[in-house]
Amino acid sequence: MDVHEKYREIIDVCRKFAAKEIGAAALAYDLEPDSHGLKELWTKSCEVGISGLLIPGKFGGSGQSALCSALVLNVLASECAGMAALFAEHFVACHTLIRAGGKESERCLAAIANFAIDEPTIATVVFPSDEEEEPVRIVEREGKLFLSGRTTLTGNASLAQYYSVFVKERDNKITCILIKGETPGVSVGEEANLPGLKVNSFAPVTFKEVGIGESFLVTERGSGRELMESAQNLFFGFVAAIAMGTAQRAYEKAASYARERYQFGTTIINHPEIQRMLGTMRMKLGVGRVAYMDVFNGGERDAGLTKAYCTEAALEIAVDAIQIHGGYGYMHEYGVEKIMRDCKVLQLLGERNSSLIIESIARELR
Amino acid sequence: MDHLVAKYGLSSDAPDLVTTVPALGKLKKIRPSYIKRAESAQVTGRRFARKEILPRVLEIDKKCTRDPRYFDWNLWRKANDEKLTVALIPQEMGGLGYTALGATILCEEMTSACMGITANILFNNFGLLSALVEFRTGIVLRIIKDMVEAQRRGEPLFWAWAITEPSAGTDVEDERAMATMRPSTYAEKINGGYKINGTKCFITNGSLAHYVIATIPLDRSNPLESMATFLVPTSSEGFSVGKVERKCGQKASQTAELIFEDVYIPEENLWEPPGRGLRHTREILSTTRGFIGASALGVARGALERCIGFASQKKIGNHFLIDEDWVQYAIADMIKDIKTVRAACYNFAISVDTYHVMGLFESLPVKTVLKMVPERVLLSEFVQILGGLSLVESLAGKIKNKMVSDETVEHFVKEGSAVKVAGTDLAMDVSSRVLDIVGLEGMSHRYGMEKCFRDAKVTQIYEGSNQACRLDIFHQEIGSPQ
Repeated sequence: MDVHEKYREIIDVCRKFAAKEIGAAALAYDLEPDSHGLKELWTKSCEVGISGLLIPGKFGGSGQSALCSALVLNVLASECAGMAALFAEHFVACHTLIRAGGKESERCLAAIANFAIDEPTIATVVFPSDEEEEPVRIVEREGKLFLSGRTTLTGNASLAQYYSVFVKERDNKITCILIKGETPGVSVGEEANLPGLKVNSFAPVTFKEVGIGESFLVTERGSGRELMESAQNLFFGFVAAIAMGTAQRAYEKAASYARERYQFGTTIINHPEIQRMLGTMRMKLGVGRVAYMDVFNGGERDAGLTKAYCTEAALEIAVDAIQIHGGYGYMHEYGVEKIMRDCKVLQLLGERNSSLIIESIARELR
Repeated sequence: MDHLVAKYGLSSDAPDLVTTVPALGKLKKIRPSYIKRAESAQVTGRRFARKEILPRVLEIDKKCTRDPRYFDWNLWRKANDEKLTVALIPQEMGGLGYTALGATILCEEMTSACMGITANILFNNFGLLSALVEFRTGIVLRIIKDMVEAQRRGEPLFWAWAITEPSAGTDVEDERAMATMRPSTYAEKINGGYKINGTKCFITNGSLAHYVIATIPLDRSNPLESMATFLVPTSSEGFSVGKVERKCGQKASQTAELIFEDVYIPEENLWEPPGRGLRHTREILSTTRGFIGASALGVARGALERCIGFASQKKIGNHFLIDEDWVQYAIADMIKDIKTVRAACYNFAISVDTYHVMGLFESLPVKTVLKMVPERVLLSEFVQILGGLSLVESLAGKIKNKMVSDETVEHFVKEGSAVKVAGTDLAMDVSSRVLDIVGLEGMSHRYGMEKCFRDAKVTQIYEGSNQACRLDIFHQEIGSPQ
């Protein structure tokens, strides 16, 4: 069955929600992120079932597949890539708990799915990075475990109540820990002020001797590599879906503007050069769409490559969409330049694309 | 690792003009004063960029995000004190006497710190460029006098050049397109002058301008043959500034909508008669596109220099980011492109100084007059009146028109377009690749690189979109289709 048919109902609901709630707020939040308004928006999204999309029905979620989640993110991103990225981080954090299982994870998932109306529950995920100045480590003292260190930029940083943290241990072994935001010792640093995805919050998170007794180990110590890789691949697939969603909107805007704008004695869509630009966008969108869906259809091994391809294609599409709009494309109120800024951040989200491309070959030599 | 990182541009004041473009070293042996002025432009621009612009640039960008009308007058005054606002005016008349080459280099150095701020300071010279297009001696001398006197008083005298309209961008810059244009601004002949109505949009410095040079047709159904150029004092009744745009980048530079409601313009402010408006635009474009190319080159350089600084200090595991193989390949590739475009920009500027209107300042009669006559006389009322005499105007006009023929203008539009496309595409490419290298953290506002990326995009759009520029390159180089 065609994937669109299978998920048509849920996609339609999300598309309507996105057009009504996200579309209206996207440009305002881009100028001035408002965490209060954002939480309200999140609460509304819970009502249509977005935040618990991946969480199994027995814990109160919708129990949808990763592919379905990607399609939803794609639709949300057509209104605002930043909003979609917020959900992507959340979905991946949920995925770590679902996949790891165990009583504590399940309790946590139930809490996320059955949110309290006034205080929605947002999760995020932290992957280890060689760029951490104070590497995040688990230290053992007097028989107790503590988490210490400072992450590089973490998405959803100041919004999240749950951090699913992958920690690098000795011999490159990985452990996954779930940290609750209110635990003593957890603090969020200065916002990075990135050029795009502005609705989201990117900041370093500091763990200062955070007692793990109050949080819990998602995986046993040293056995989280497989979980981390699956979470990373999922994240890359989601980012690719978001990139294609927002680029799709850039294309639609450019195509409709080209049908209205009169120049050289005709509407500019009649110029072959504009047709070439629009056709090139469509070509990249078509390939990118197939590529990101393939990540969820057995292609997760090359999810990093797909993310690299889709985000690069998305940026090219957005840049050309501005070009077709001429001066108007550069002005905030038309919402096209925002897509370009969002795409630029998507390119760097998770990992640098060049590193992902090199790693796809290098890992085979190890 | 620090010792491996070359110090130039934003990281050092040291001039490197004749070493980066050795042809200039050779030229220096033949024309020492010409190259020395260019070197002085580099030193001045580089020092100002490092000392004055760089420390303020991010704060200004933030303030302008909140309020698009924010303007840092302190910084502008510092630039004015250094005469950067009158950089193109001959030294003998109170300016810096920068030639096209000097101005190109000045643009590049200043935009490496911030292109928006550079636009506030340098694009003011549009007034002079427009006057040079006319080359009616009365107008040229008056504008030079006004600009120099304002500079000395420490007061701004802004010029804006109003071409784009809500319904027409490329249509106002290209002959074939103009024939089919649907103008939103138009002029009517009335007793003693003209009445203007309509709207211009995306006008750089439009909200700050004291004078607007606007191309406006008299017959809306026949724009090409009725397009004229007017000098509009912004104090005119009926003139107002609409919204100041909220832009993606270059936020320090104000981009405004200009509204004309029954604005009366006296006959003497008609700079180009109906039918000559496009020619005026083309002649300005024939030099400014080159300057935009050089300015965009500066944006690329600024982005790369910041990236090199960041990558040589950013630790990744047990090494620095700049130690990574792919980073070194990427940086080398960008240096290659910057070197190539830089040589093309300087080459264009030298040809403007040699064969275009700027060459007039280098011509023997003008040079002799500037050398022999003291400044107070050059700026005196007497010379103003002398310059305004119709005999003098027609003689000067003849010399100028001989030097700058229609063919010359179109040749330079083509050459300038090539430099503009090369420079602006480079700015976009380099500012984007640089972010790919520095990663998410390096993309934070405080490192300034994401701003280069935001600033770069509009350079591909204004001063003739890169598509319009490519059409000019083809049509002037290969020929127009029937």
